[in-house]
Amino acid sequence: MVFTNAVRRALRKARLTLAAYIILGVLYLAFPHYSQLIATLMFYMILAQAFNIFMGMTGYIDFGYVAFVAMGAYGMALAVESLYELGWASIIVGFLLAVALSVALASMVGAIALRLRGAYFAIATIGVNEGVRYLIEGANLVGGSEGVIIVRELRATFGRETANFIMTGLADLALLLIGITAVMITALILSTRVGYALQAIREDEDAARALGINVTRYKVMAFTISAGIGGLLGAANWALKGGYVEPAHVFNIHYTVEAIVMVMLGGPGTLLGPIIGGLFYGSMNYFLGVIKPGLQLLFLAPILLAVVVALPKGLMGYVRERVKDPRLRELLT
Amino acid sequence: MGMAELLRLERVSKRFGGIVAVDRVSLVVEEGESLGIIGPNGSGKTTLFNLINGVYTPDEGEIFFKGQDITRTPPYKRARMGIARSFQIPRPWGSLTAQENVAIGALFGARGGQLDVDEALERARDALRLVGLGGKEDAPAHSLTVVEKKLLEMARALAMEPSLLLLDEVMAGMSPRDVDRVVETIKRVKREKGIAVVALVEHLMRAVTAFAERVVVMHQGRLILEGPPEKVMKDPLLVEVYLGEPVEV
Amino acid sequence: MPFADLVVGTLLYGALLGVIYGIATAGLSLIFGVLKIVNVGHGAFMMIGAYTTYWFFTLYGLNPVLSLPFSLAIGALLGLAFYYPVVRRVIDAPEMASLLATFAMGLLLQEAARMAWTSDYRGFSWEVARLEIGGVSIYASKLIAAGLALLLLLFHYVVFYRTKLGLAIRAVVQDREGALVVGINVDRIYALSFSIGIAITVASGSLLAIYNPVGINPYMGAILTLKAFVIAVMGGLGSIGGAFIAGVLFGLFENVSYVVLTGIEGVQPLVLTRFIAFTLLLVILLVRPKGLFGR
Repeated sequence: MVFTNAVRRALRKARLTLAAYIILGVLYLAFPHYSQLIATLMFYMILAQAFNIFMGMTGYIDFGYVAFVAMGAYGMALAVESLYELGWASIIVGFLLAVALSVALASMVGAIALRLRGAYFAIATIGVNEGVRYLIEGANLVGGSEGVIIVRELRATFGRETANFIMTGLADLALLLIGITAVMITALILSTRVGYALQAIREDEDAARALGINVTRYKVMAFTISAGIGGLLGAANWALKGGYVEPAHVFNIHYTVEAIVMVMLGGPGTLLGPIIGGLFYGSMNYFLGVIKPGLQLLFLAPILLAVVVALPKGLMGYVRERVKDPRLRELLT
Repeated sequence: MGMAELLRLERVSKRFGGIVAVDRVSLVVEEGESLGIIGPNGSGKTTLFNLINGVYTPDEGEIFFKGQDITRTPPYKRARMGIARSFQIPRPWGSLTAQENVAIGALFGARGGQLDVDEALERARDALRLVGLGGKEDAPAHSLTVVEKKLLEMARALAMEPSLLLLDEVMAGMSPRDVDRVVETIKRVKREKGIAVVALVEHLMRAVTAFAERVVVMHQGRLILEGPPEKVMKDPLLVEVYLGEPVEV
Repeated sequence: MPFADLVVGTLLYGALLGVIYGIATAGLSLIFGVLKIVNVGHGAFMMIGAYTTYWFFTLYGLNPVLSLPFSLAIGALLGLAFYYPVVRRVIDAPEMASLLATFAMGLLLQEAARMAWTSDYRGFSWEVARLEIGGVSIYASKLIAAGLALLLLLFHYVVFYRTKLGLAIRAVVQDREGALVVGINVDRIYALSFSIGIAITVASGSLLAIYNPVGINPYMGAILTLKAFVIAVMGGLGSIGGAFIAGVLFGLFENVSYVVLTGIEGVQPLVLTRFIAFTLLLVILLVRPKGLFGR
């Protein structure tokens, strides 16, 4: 009873965000020419949403977040590489392994890092990201610095045509579903006690503890959920869509920073914020890449600085503070 | 009073480096009692609160609540057992609304597990009304005045349905009118809900006399006086404590 | 090479490099100690120092030792240039603002360096004598770099403990409100501390280039930042003395680990050393959440 109430509340909150994904899905089918732009946008939206579940809601900066996305990519790549003879089953196993690996890493990291605060937490998580990457490269594990390439396995199993479909249409459909999952999970969190606990932790962790909130439990919960969605994203967008996983790419701290930027831009802890941030940042990045290839990062830096200095609560925070009508405000959560 | 024992501290001490902030304090609070703890700045009152509330663990001694040993119980569990508190400098969650602040108290307090969000929000509305903040439900907590923030913290604590309410300097820096308002609220809470209230007070002896049935005086980490307010207030030792004279105990 | 010489050489090189790591981390720790912000762009500032030394040597044949004053000056100016428009506004903001802002500063330097000087790896060779120490032959330039690092540390120490500015900085670190009350211009102290911290960081980049005059490129900062984090956490964030000791220990660890790992088949010793470093970081944080020498 309590749960169905929560689902109803969550759906009401998520109307606008779900609509965004569905519109993108329709546009994808209507304009095949722009399908890859739309897929890129979805990647950024999901990255921002997954990151938001932990960072946006608790205020902790996980600088090593991309490691969880990387784990997912490895999970998928390894499953396809070793089980490709099973056909479609290998891809299903791939998604399961992706979640399992990222959640496993998150539980280990969480046990250590979630006791730390502020700068120490940020530094410890960078340490985890780089540590895992250098372990893989240095000890030549799972392909070492070469990574894992699965294009050949996909083509051998499914034939060239189907393999191409898997790496475009199917991977993009997976992205859409992951995005919708992320929306629903975020909306559910925001409509239940979990969301209130996380917000209280973000605002004042000691006060939250003194007022009966099991701070550790909620932090671990958000951390693991956020990592799991990241894992799915890595599996779909990097392993399946890209056809290969390379440590220097999947552990690149730039993705974490992009996630931070998008969440900050849109408004941390909100439902719509990461979507706005993801759409804005994703399209900017895409067009800059078209107009002036190689200069994205040079443009990114001043944008980052401007966001931090001028919009510390993000675009959504800025708009929300100026909206008086409570119904409109709820729509904008 | 003949009522049951709620909280018991047995020779509790807490040291910070070489400083003994709380020195072998023993204290009993009975159910539904209202107790004032007074003492000058630095006498160890807030540390004592933090020990009861679980922010600190004592170096020596034991603490019992409702007959259970809670000496090493984490703060969040103590909160669920029925210990609620306010902070000396109010610490509401600033960007949440007043109602949401109080609702979180209800969701995670003594009966938290049984409430869903809507019920908690409803209960928050009642608690806000009880402390006189009706109509401020949608105001972000950071926009409230200091007095309102203190009342908000009381509402948040009350929404937890505690059996023991710890109020840290809740009346400090208030105008006489606001003090009366808070004293009235405390009395009402006690009367309507039967909650034991322990309030820390540095000055404002008048307010203590107005609501406390019993007063203890802390000085240099120790309890040095105890009794009904009228009697304690007249004790020459109290004057010495506040004038900073050396006190022999 | 006889085993004894290998041991002496490993430890000697490790200690010399460690002294440079120490001074490189001192700037990071100073900024954290005073402003309570972590400079995520730390390594990019070191990169600027390395390029400074490289260009002065390559274009004008300037003795690398003499490029140090230029690095300090460039660093001090960069510090001020970033402090007023950006850093100042994020001091009291939530942590993510300062982390993001300093990251962006590093990114800006890195991309600007790439635009200006391409992403080629650069190096120079400064012909100085080799010395024999305990049977180990060593470039005098490495000794000079380490010596200059110690000199910078001394300078740092003098500023901190023997000047009015240093006293004011320490007062701000202890209690910002207290410092305000006695009439210290806290904003100016922040600006100067950030400027000095960046100056030392840029200068340490020059020292690194003198110690090891190859591999200078716009992206060299990333790993330097990460190493500085490990060292700073070992030393206890904000403790400059701690950072220095931890730097020396880290230099020793890095060299010993490299030499030991070289003996293992099929691994990449340099990369695996980094893995061990980060594992070390996590273990330290697990045991002592405020760093080895942190209070």
